[in-house]
Amino acid sequence: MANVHSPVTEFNYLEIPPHHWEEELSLLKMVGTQTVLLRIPWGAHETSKGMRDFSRSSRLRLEKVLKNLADQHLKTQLQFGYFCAKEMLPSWAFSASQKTTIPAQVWDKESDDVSLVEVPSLFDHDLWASFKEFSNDVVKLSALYVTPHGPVEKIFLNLKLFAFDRDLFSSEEFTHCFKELYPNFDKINSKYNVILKSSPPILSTVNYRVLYKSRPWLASFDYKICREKLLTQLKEKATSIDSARGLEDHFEVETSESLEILSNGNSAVAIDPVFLDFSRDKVFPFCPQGLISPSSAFAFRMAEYFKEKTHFHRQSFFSLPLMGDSEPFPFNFISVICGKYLTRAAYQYLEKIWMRGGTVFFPFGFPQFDEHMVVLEWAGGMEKKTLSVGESRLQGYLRGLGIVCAPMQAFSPTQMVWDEIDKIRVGFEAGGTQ
Amino acid sequence: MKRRYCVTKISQREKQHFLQVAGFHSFRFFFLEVSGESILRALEVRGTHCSVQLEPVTLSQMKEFSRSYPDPILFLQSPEGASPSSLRTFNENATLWEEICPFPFSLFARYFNSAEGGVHISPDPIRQAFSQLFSALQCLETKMAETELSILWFHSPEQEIAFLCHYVRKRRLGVGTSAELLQIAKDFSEGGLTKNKLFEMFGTQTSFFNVDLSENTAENPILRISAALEKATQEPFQVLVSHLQTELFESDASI
Repeated sequence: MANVHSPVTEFNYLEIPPHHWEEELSLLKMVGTQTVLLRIPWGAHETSKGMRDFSRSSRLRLEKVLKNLADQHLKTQLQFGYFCAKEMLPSWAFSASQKTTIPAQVWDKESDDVSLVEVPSLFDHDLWASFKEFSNDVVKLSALYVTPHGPVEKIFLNLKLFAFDRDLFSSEEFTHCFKELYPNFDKINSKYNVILKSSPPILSTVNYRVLYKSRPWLASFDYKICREKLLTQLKEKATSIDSARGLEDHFEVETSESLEILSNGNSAVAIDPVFLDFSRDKVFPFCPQGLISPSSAFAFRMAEYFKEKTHFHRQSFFSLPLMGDSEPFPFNFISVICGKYLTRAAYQYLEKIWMRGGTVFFPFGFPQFDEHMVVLEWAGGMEKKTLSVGESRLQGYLRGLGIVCAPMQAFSPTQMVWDEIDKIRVGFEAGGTQ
Repeated sequence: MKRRYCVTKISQREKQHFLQVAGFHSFRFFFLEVSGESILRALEVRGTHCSVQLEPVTLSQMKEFSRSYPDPILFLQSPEGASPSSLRTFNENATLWEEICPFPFSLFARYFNSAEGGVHISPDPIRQAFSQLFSALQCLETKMAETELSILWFHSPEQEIAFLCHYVRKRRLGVGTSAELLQIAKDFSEGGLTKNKLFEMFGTQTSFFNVDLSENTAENPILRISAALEKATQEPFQVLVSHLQTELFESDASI
């Protein structure tokens, strides 16, 4: 059913009798719709494996819908792939041996609990082969209707939910990625402080449980790094399907969705991303194989708490980078929510902030190690100073043009912690540092 | 001609609106979700507003906290080391309450519906009241499932909301809402809704249930809605095709 309030209006051709398509689209045009989103559910077009229907059944006549859209001069965005809709996946796809476990909220945006759902995984080779054929057909057909001769402005292949996959252990590629990180057992044993027996495979589900129990932060980080690599590979595979050649301006594979940053104001709360996953407006606990460590559970509670508080006080809330080099937002004061560990990428991100004059505040104390178990250097050769901000006393370092600091005694994670942090922020903004 | 039944899926905002219509706008409770030994969520719920709490921090504190907390507590516990809630694939067996209520209110139904266990409601009187509510809702749904479509109109003097439920072989396939349903409800309240009209609109067997929340004055919203559901079950406005064919035949004969 069409939602006429959004700037892009969805037209669900499967739920509208084909003889009403023209009439419904003309109604949409009349109420001021400019752009229509057409979702093409795989499950509806390929009810039997290998038998794809885009023209036989009247409700599946994709070309007819596209012609109707062209007649109404409605700009069109096509979307196929993985999204929450009726008939999105063919029932036979559920027999795929490999499954993707994702937060229920990723699948169904209206859902609000933290449970998980399972969907067939495109990392399953057989399923990928079938999906690739379907994708080829969709793109080939849509290519006939792209702008400037047709209404289709964009063709999106939505694979975003694979960025949340919590169960990649049965994927050969995942094991391969992990082997690249840890070519032998000595390295893994010393880093995780465990004694894994040197029998293959290096990454069984049992082994991963041992690693996760010993060092949950590190195990989560390593998992996420491998997942990122797999996601890049999946994106490359999907972008290079035959029929997409020459459609570079129109065809886009979507594999990620990051937390939307409210960039109003000069201050923000940033959180370590390792125990969490983020979508545009939601936070999920990261639980590989459905496992939740106490640290992960606590990180999730903190994320929800600070997300709510920053939203209420119109401040920004975002996740620090997991990897790579990114340019920071121009905040003057950042409170960083993390535990004993912080990624090297996050450290470098924060470094840019203090170097240009910002203040980085760790309310729960300075993190000590990065993902390589290398000690994080907060002093940078500077002498530790005692700073007075309003009535509070902090310990910190003058770095670059800015300050890195933490309370003399780490704050306790109680209900009042927001007020305590905010007092420090207000103190800094008032320029009361001594 | 049989009309398409697609209606907009119920949004979070509409679910919250339902809570207000149902009189839960000031209903307070504490929601705790625990996975193994870790507290995953602690929310103080006041009607449609949820506030994230960082306390209690540990499970041992939780016991003390539960004893002293003045409002009802909904406690969801997943097994040790398991995912936050048990793994589920598409919410196929969701009750009607889960479909139309926002989280975490929706979870009250899980206590009575699920074989999974792990849901606790305290204190006893609240649990009993919810038990009564879900029995009433189950009876109503049995009646609703007799026809392919059922319109469920909840209304108090100030607010209203209507849902359309689609059943095939007594199984609920979907629940949605649209402004058009409120127009039908208006016709009903003005006495202008006839069985023929309802049939013309949907082209199939349809029921209309009037859940009048203004009649009962019980202070407890759970008891109030239970009574209204029981009453609605007893007085459905149903158009069954067999009845309609007879009526049409009779009117043709009179012509």
